[in-house]
Amino acid sequence: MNHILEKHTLQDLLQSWRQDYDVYLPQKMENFSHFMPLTETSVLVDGDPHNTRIPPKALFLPMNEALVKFTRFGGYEDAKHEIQSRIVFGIRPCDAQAVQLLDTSFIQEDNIDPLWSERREKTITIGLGCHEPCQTGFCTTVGYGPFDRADLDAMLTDLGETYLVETFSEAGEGCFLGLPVASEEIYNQALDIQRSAHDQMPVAFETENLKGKLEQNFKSDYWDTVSQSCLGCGVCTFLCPTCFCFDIVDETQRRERVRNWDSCMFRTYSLEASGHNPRPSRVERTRQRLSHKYVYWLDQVNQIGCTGCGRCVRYCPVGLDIRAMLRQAQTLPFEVSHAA
Amino acid sequence: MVVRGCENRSVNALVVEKQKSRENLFLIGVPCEGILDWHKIVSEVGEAVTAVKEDGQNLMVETRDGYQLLERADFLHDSCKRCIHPNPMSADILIGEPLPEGDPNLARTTVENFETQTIEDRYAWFQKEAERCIRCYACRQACPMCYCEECFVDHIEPRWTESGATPAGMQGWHIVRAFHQTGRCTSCGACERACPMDIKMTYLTEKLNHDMRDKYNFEAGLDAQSQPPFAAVTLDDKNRFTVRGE
Ligand code: SF4
Ligand code: SF4
Ligand code: SF4
Ligand code: SF4
Ligand code: SF4
Repeated sequence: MNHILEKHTLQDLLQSWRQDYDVYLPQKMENFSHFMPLTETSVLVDGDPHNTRIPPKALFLPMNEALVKFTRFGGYEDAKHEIQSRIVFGIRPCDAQAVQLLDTSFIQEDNIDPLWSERREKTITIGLGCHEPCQTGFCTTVGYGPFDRADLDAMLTDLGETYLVETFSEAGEGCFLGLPVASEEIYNQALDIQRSAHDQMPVAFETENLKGKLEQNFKSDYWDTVSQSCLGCGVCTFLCPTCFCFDIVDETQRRERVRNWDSCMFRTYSLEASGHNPRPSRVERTRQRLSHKYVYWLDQVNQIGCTGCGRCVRYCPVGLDIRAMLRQAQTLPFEVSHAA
Repeated sequence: MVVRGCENRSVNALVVEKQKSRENLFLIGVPCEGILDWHKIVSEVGEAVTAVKEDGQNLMVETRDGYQLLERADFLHDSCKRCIHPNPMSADILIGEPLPEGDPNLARTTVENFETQTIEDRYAWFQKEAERCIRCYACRQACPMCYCEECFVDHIEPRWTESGATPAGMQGWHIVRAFHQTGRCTSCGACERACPMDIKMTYLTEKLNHDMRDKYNFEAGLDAQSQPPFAAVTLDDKNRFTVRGE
């Protein structure tokens, strides 16, 4: 159902949710925004910047969490996590899309990550569409968009003094019960805003045959060129909403087995105990990062594994721009006969 | 290699540590007016910057809604604002006119702000900066003086610090990273510039740099011969701890 939410009543509504849920929303932290628990005085960051610095994947896959606790005399038990019912409010469509993509990895028929899936089940996600699309993002280029529903329970469209609220699930509807129903006219006005936001976004690069070109040029000098200035840090992958690699480590002093975020851009990522590393340099690591998003995700779930949020573009310390890298990839030779 | 002041000092320090051979390098020096901090520009004009043009001491920032004129000097990185030696000191050739040296007192202010606080406030400051770290190691990767094949954080057995983004892990990383730079940090600010979490970490290394200046009359990278005090060994060292059995 579609509702109208007066902006000046938003704070009261958010506070009312606190009775039954932990509520998370983007709030200012230093010079950026961060998903933090709602308090009496929380203020939503809703315009600038669009995206939180750390993507909301962190709400489902924390940077660090214990999996197993070791007890005395060689015993162990599962680490206990109290997972509360939550509402995550103000998630942007690209980030919501990313969480849905990650479901395909963490929730598989015979292979379910219990922590991820419990957090997902207990979380209501409410999106905030982008009526003024962001500058570095390119969601439309990769087949998503500034008002994509992804797997959201509800989504807001900014209409100036009010928001149009579209609810897509019972849980989402439950959050906005009692709000006035939006008229057909207002709904159409919102649709216009949504369409125009979509149309405003330029095409950052062509995606046609991109997968094939990256695959066929696995050994090309292209990878040397695009990785030359790369530092091999964790910025582009840690801040990427769809990167989900983790490392499992025993913290013996704490008697815990933990998982930490990990990154294929790190030297230690694929380093084997023998000392051999199948990805010995930044050339192979850069190839892995780009290919994972633009080749392997497609092989696995037939969707591009980049939702175009633009974080890697914005925060790479040396200004490596995935959009430019992929534009350059489009100039690589390609033989159609090889395409499956 | 084209080098600014800080990069020339870094090359020198790397030559001292035998990581580079000076004969194999030809240095083209450029006096440096400082690097712009795009985070500061975005804080001022908003996220939707489409272009920035430099015009002498002015910046022309183009946004979705038009243009804004800013003064270049206000938007420099902190480390560039307090830079003491903007001129390359041992380049093979110099391009452009040398600039006046920076004010060492200005460079002291960050450290003084920190040093003069109570121990509780200093700890709170340290926690606030260290504990939003995501352990991405961009600071390490960008640092000219971090070149270890295996960093202490990557070492598994023994483990020197907690591996993850936990308070203990983040604090351990910040402290030890800074201490490994004692007498080696060239004040280039690359660590701070690279950090995706806007963490200000040079107050730690600058404190060590000041101690090196005050107590040992040493500044890293001023020439390509002088050993950092903590790395230098002489046989007539007053401290006998380096000699076995005495
Ligand atoms: S990439 Fe698209 S969905 Fe994401 S913040 Fe930008 S405009 Fe919104
Ligand atoms: S953020 Fe930039 S420098 Fe760091 S690993 Fe990614 S591409 Fe390389
Ligand atoms: S690859 Fe870059 S643009 Fe794409 S989802 Fe990841 S961080 Fe965003
Ligand atoms: S392999 Fe690299 S690109 Fe793929 S999810 Fe892991 S960190 Fe991200
Ligand atoms: S760059 Fe910043 S976030 Fe990354 S490890 Fe260094 S201090 Fe931490």
